[in-house]
Amino acid sequence: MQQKSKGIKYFGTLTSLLRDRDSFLEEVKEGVRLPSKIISLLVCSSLFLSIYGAIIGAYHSWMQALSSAVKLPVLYLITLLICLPTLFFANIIFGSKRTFGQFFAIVLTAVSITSVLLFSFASISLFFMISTNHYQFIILINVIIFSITGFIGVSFLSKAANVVLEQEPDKIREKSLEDNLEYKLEQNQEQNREQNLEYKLEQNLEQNQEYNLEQNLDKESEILIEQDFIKFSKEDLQDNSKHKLNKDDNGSKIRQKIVKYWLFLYAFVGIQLGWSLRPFFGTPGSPFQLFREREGNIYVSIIQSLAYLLGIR
Amino acid sequence: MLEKRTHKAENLNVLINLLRDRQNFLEEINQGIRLPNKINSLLVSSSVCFALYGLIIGASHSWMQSLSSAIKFPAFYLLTLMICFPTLFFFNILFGSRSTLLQHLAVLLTAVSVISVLLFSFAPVTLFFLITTPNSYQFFKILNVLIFLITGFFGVKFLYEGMQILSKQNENGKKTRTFIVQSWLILYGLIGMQLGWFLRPFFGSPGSQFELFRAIQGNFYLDIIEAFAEVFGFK
Repeated sequence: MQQKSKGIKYFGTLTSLLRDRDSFLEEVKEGVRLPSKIISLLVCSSLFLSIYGAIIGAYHSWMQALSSAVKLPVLYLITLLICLPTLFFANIIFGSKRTFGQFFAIVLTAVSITSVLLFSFASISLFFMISTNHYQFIILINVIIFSITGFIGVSFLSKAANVVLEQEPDKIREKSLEDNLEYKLEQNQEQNREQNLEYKLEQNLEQNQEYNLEQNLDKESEILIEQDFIKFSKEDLQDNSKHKLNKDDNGSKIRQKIVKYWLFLYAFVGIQLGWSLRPFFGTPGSPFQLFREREGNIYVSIIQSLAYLLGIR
Repeated sequence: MLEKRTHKAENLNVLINLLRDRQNFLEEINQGIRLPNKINSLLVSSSVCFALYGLIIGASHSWMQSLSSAIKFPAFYLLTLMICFPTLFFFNILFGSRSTLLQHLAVLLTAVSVISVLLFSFAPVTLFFLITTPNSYQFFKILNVLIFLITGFFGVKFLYEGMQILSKQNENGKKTRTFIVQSWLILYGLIGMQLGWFLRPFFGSPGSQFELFRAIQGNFYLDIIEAFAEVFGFK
């Protein structure tokens, strides 16, 4: 009974993500119940991915189905874990104030979206598997499904990154700057007042009333000058704070770029991991194997086969 | 024990501080606030990060290689820094910088720490390729060269920023000093390459026996070109 309600809770997080993405991201941004969100996203996405994995493996045999059901979630989630530190530290270096949990959450949302979409394609994939016997066609259709879902997941990731990583020009710092400014102004004014008072006192003590008129004129001009000074210092401070805000703006642009470049890293690692985890489908007629014998590095293989095609070797 | 732990936490704190709010950190260096403390923590944390990365790249060969790389790798970055540091400092002083020795050291160390943290963040990726493709030594090497390039680029960027802030106060001779930093970077690169070559092997070519140091031979650039040639199949 309890387990059931737990399952419903996990599912609830996912549907809330799907239904009302904006408020979900807003919650991630504010760090509301992050651990529970992360866990439920993890559970949901691995569940959906393993269902899809089981379906594509079922084309070969039930053993292949089982192994694919494990391999497919592993492929998506391990790649994520491998690449996450790079994203986190690179963002921190460019002034992000988000926590590791928040980064984990937004990247997981992208994977969850992909997994849900894959799940929604599962019936179509299953239908083609039952109705056709053509291995290459099934591979082709799956590649298309994977690229569509992956593309939507990625576009969602960049949107989520925009929402969550966007730091409104640092309210706290801005406030402290303003406070600083006011404080300095007050200090200046107080100083001026004190100086004026002392000055007046001295003047009164030292000088006759005849002199007073001239002194008053002098004082007035002095006060004017000081007011000018205050004005300038205020402008200066404001300029400074603007400069800092601009700087932060610059940082947020760089951070968005980092997310984009990080996707390449994710793909780079994911391709290699997919290569090492093969087979997912299992060629029909071949005996079941958990892993194919290691063919090493996919990039080296690609370059070598290219070289072979071009006749360099 | 407890004291040690808090010490560690403090080191980490300084590092996170540096990463999160660089502007303030550099400003603090500029004002000379708790400099020795900062320098210590930066030294410790960057050595730890470098050592971890060294451990991983050495593991492609054997555990002995991995241990030796874990020591060599921080030594490589920090020794190069120490060798080149006086040149930068005295040249800067000569052209009117008013910053102290410690301030210069702190700014340089921030750049190195940034590199070390970025390398640390790439460590899972390297480890992954190490595990999945045990036989492609040359690919592993090129991947690492790429990672070093990326991290080094960011480190240099931050060094620039730090130097800019240090020489903010006196405009006198600022242009010359920027030029000095640029030329110094080239010097740093040259020294680093030579030292790196001298400290080889870091990776240890597969099938060879463990050696602490290799007999000096060849040249860095030739080796990289050879690695590319092997991957692209020209050889």
